Amino acid sequence: MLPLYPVGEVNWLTSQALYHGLPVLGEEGVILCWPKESYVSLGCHQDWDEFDESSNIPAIRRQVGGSLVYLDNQQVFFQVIADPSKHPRLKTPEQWYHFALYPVIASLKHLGFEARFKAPADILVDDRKISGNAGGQIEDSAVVVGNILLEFSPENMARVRAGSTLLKGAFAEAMARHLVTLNALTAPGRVWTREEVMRLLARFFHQEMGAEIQDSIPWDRWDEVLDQTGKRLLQPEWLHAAGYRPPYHQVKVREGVYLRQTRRDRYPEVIAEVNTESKVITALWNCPVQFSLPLNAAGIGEQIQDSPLRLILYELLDVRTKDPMLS
Amino acid sequence: MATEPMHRWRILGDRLYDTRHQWVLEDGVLLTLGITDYTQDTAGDILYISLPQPGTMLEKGQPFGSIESGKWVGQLYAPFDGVVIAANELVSENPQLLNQDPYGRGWLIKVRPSADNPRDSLLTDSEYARFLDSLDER
Repeated sequence: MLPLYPVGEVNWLTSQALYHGLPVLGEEGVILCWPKESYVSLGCHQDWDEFDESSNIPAIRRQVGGSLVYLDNQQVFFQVIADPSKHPRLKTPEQWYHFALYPVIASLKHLGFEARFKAPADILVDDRKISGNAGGQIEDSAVVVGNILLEFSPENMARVRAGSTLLKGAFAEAMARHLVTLNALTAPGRVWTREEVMRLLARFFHQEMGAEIQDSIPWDRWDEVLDQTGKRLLQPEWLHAAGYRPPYHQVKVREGVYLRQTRRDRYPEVIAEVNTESKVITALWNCPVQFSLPLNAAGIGEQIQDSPLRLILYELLDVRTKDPMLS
Repeated sequence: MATEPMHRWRILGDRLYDTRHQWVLEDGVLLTLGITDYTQDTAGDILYISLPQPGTMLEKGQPFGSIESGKWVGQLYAPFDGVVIAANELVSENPQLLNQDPYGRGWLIKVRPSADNPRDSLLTDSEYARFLDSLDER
């Protein structure tokens, strides 16, 4: 039985130090919390250059996967820290995600929403993302962390992401279409409080996972390690590290949906929204020619006569060509 | 009577293994390390791998790199003490090699071990096969 700690509001650094620190202490747990201040969290292997430092907001690099996210006090975090030796049936990342996210999906279904898991780690309601998640191994623990959006500002998220004004604008527009919040899903005027959502999650982590809700938070036992862990996560050599660099500029909107912009000299202003599962371009910004969308590889070949533009769109769609321009 | 393995993952007889699903192959005075078929299969499509620079000291049981797939970051652990002599740049540039050829072109690092015989703590192919079977039984 995992102990469940309804921590509530903490400072921004502690909201990250908790799930990094419990593995150091060798403790299991389910943490429910939210940050007092807004901040940015970069993925473990993400390139620091993807963060727009001019946004003047605190940033941290986490030890679990995924990409850069803007976090604030309109999101309730859930963090599952477990000892794999006590859960021998859970071997793959997919199995860990199902284990940790099932109570969250059950909570949303209880509210009447058609929530579903979207591999590898999103929760969608009506095909729009309400919860982004990531996981990994920290010390000897398996960790899955995520959030439920009560409110979300696509503009704030776009502001902290490095890129041209055009890319930021397209990103905000795409997120507005692909993300949804708890408040937007409920009747007009119904505003969810963070405490309500925390109580709801605690109830379903107890019902579905058997987590035992704790009456108090053992800060005395945790404080020293959380303090050390927070400082470690801010070490410049860790925080400012280089990392994954795809062949094009890319921002993720939700699982399977990305905005991409070429790094090449030709048509650098064209931005494509790509659905990587159906392998189609679903939206285009600043494209000099109008096309009927969605556009797949065959459609690009048929509709686009301009060879450089055709090749750029092939590249953004991950279609391999033998053209020397893209080699 | 010989029994068929319960697991479905490929194991090669020319190398040793550890319980973190990594393989070790003798290469003259060096040892080459990689991940097993089990690791690549259970991880799914591998997006990124972080490997140490040549010259990095490895400490047995401590992480020396990490691997990301599906927003999940797994750790790579040193099976023995030693110094990294080479890291596979090809796999850093093209992590899909780990899925395609984990026992060949997807090797990770070459290490000069500190101890005379670091192989003592590793598993033979048949021992590793039994270890995989024991995982399936749980």
